[in-house]
Amino acid sequence: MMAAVLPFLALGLLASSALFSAQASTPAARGQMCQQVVHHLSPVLNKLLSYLPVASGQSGQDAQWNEWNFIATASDLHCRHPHTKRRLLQGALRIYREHSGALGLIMPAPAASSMPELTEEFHQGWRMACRVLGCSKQMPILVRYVTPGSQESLNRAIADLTLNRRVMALIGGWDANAARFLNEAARGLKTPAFLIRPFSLRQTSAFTFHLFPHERLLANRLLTIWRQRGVRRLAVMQPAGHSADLLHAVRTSAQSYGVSHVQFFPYDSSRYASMESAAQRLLDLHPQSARSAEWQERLEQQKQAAELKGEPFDESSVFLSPRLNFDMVLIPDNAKVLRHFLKIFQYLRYSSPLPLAGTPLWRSEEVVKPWDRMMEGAFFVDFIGPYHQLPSFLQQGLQPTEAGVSSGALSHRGVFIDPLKMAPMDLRLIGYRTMSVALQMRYFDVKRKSVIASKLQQMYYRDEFFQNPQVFSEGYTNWPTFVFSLSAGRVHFLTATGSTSKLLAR
Amino acid sequence: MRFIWRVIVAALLVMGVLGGVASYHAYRWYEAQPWQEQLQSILEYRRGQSSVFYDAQGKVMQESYSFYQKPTPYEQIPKPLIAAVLATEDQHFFTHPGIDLGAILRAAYENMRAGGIVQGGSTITQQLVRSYLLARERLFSRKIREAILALKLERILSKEEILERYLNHLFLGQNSYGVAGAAQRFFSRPLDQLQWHQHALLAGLFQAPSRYNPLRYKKRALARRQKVLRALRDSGRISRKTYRIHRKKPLDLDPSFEPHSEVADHHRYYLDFAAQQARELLDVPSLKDRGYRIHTYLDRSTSNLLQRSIKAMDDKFTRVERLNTSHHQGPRLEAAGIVMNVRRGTVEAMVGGRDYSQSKFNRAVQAQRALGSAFKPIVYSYGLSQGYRWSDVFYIAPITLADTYRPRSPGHQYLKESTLLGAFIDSINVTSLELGKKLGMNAIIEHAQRLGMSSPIKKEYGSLIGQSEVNLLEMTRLYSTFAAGGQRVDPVVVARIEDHTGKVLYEAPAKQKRTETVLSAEVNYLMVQAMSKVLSHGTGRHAYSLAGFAGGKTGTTNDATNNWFCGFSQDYVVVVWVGTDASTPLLRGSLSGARLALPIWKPVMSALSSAAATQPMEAPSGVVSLLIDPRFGHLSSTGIRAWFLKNALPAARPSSLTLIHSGQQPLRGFGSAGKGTSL
Repeated sequence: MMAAVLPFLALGLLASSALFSAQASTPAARGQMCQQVVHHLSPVLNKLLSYLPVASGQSGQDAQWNEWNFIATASDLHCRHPHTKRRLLQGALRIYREHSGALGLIMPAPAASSMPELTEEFHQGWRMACRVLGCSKQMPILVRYVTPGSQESLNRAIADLTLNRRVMALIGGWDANAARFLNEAARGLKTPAFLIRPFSLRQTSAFTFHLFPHERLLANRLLTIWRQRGVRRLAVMQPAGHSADLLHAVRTSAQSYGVSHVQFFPYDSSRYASMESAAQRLLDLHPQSARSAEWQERLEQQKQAAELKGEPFDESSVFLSPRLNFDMVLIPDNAKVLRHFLKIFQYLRYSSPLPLAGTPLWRSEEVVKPWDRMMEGAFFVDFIGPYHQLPSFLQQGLQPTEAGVSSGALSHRGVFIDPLKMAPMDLRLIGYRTMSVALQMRYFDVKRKSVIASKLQQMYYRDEFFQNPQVFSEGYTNWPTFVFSLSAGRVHFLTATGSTSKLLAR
Repeated sequence: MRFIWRVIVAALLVMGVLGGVASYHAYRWYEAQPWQEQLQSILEYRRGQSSVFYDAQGKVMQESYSFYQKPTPYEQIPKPLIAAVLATEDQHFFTHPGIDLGAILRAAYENMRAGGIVQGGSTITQQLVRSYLLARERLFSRKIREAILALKLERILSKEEILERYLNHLFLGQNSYGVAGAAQRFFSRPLDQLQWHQHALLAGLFQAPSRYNPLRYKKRALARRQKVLRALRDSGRISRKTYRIHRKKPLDLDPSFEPHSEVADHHRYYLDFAAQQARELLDVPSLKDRGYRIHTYLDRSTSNLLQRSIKAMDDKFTRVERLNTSHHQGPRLEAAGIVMNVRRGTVEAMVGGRDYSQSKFNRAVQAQRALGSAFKPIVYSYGLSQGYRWSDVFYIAPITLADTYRPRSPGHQYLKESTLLGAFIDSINVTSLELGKKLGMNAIIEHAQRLGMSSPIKKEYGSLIGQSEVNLLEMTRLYSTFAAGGQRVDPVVVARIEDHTGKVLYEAPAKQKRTETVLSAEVNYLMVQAMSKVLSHGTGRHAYSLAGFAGGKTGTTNDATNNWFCGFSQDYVVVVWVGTDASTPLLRGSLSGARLALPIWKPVMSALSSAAATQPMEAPSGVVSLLIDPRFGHLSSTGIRAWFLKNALPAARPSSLTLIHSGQQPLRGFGSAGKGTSL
């Protein structure tokens, strides 16, 4: 599709050059003429040009550098001359369209990184993919280290990799700013960008590919389970500040999964009053709920009874029995918040097992240690199954812990690992996934970058862990999801699913 | 006529025979009765053998208990006084056999004439028997028994011996016993310095000491004295001139004399309790005149130290009292304390109030008070013995117990986590309640009793945070268990009791015989170290300087009605309580055991430990010391030191909670869109 568009783009460029040639006579536009030409071609390109190192009138660098150096330093005189302008535009268009076959990796500078172990684990996953799939010199990986938070450092790296080295894909997005600009660069330069960490983007480019698992996959898995269990009324404890994608997906898709009633109970996990209020609403105990009349009636009864007995009356001793009007309660928050919610439920005198569901944030030993029977039958979904079932080459350095995990034919070891290793392990998997996908790109026999994105969208590749052969759906890589259930103080691994693309398509 | 006489004679003969037979059987019955045994307490009386209390150093603390009593030999009792007593109480004492039929008939006649009882016919011997042995009801059976015992007593003792007992034993009002005691009480003089009118006053008291109490009813007492003087005159024992001189004299009262003034007031709480213990040990109703030698473990210097520490709080107590006066009518703060020597298992000091002269109520043993958080070591020690570790994490949240008990704290205290150790040293109630609920009330109550609590503990969750009531002595025993390595020692007050001949009637059992292992040395050591943390990091940190060798626990009940500090080293246990007798809520200011009781405890423990060169307790082999994160319990080189059983160690690595707390969210590197950590 992109190939079909490009001739028209070239014509457009030529037309705009004629326009500029007409304006060139004006003294005010003379100094900006070449820049404006490039800006019309691609604002991002124009912006990045300024980050290329320039050396006017010098030579000795490689061809691409010379090409861009010429464009970047071309004077209005060059752009006014039709031959020179044509040469300039042809050169720009060629660089713009074609790649060199290399990959560009943007990493935070190790010394400046606050979590070096994460980048190291990403590398580790990358190296494992190389070892398994075989890296080759035909696909060099060009690594540029940037200072986290420095826009200039980031722009310079992108400019060098895309304009000078003409990489076929950019890999990065370690912080929110980097992710946002990579997304913009991908769109502006029509160069695929692989984002490796989850940050909200206003508008995702068609050239942007997310290598991390997306919460929509979790939402769809949860909804599928609830449909199987006949859940009609769903309560969602809604934390302030995170899990927005998950909750959005639940909100928008619930009806289609047969969940006819979804009610959200917002809370701020840093304020006890907020959490207690959310719990009261969930259990239909809130003073302003429909049961306030019932509470008032009980208050009067107890007051009179106390007066008859001549005993002092304490208003705080009046409380209603909790009532759960939902088939399922989703708490997409961590173990700490979950445990405090359980305490509050018990304080409100709800102590039976609750139909609870959770997310990967639940995956810590604190969910079952110490065991609370309110958790009996609860379950959570995650993107990683039992750690010991990962491909062996990915397990290096992992020592799954045994606590709280059942043994036997239907249960599994390896549900938990050292919590300090969880995030690094995630990054290792993402690194592995990124490199696996990138290595498949060497089989794309195309020179034009714009085609690569569409090829990626349709890429099929079977992997030992990522069992779904379709690598991307709507720009997100297809991670499997796994379900764990909690019973008698132990965590039981239930099922795994490979394909979620259909779910995403709903 | 002759027939009638014959019938009369026959009847008299029959009656005579029957009377003879009855008299014979009455005599046999009389001879068969164990009168000697019944009169034992009178017969055992030894002149001048008042019971004496000794302190731990063997020095005399107090004689004759706390009454105004000074046993005096018959020969040293002034003859005028004897004459006055005999003139009013028993004019024929030296001639009757124990009962005086003439006096009885005279009294019966006077009573019939008056239409009520106005005069008694009892002899001095009968009064003595009644005073020692019999109830005071005016029953015919009691009178018969009294007469028989009086007759018997007269056959055993001489008249002088009976009179000496009478003059020394009988109650004469205002807490005085015997004529010498009454002379000191009312005139502040010895007997040999009294004059006729004073003898007459004392003699008049025998009939009704309270009614004729000269300090209370002067007119009545004066009228009674004049009556005695008249009796002396009428019986010729004093001349008319003497009578005229003395009847004009005033009462000459001087009640300024204080008996046993050599004993400081604050020791008396101890001695009162020692006397009570001695009575129970000997199973006697009174120690008076028994000549017991009661050796106690009272250490005057320790007792003085405790009293000084309480006294030093006077200003603070006054401020608190003033602050609370607007709400309540002048609540007076009281304080009590006990010091126990752990190595000997003995109570060295006991102060039951701020001022013995104002209140003799011994709050150390007679008052039952809710003990607040000072109960918590019981819950935690049982938890540790059941497999809990100091590193176990608890979520601080409100709790509902037994469906209706819902103790609440301010919301800002919730949504936190704490290790068991952190909850203990900060005295967090909900953790104690939650732990207790998991362990079970029955098990905890049994454990508390094993450790040394004897007062009934209510089977209510409130007991877990100290709502049951105990006394200081129980708390002393309880904390001595921790101080003694998990061995419960029953503290003793009385060391030995001897009779007047030196025969040992009671000796406190050796410490080993009073000791029982109730807590493993390892678990106990864990508790000891945790309670030292209370001093270094917790609610008792005002006594930080003692944390190296001592430990303890605060206890404060609602509205600071009861404020405790119970602490120990391996040499001493010191328990202090502060509050009001009426359990008045102290509303103003943030008062607590740490603010009211700890300032008393600290100087006492500090001084005792310096003197004893107290060392830290040695760790048993089954425990190990590790640095742990105070909130999440995992090993941490920057954490606080805690002790663990070697078979129940803390987690080596940080938990998920640690990461959440330190902001390393999300745990899953990809878990939450839009909120990743920045690299």
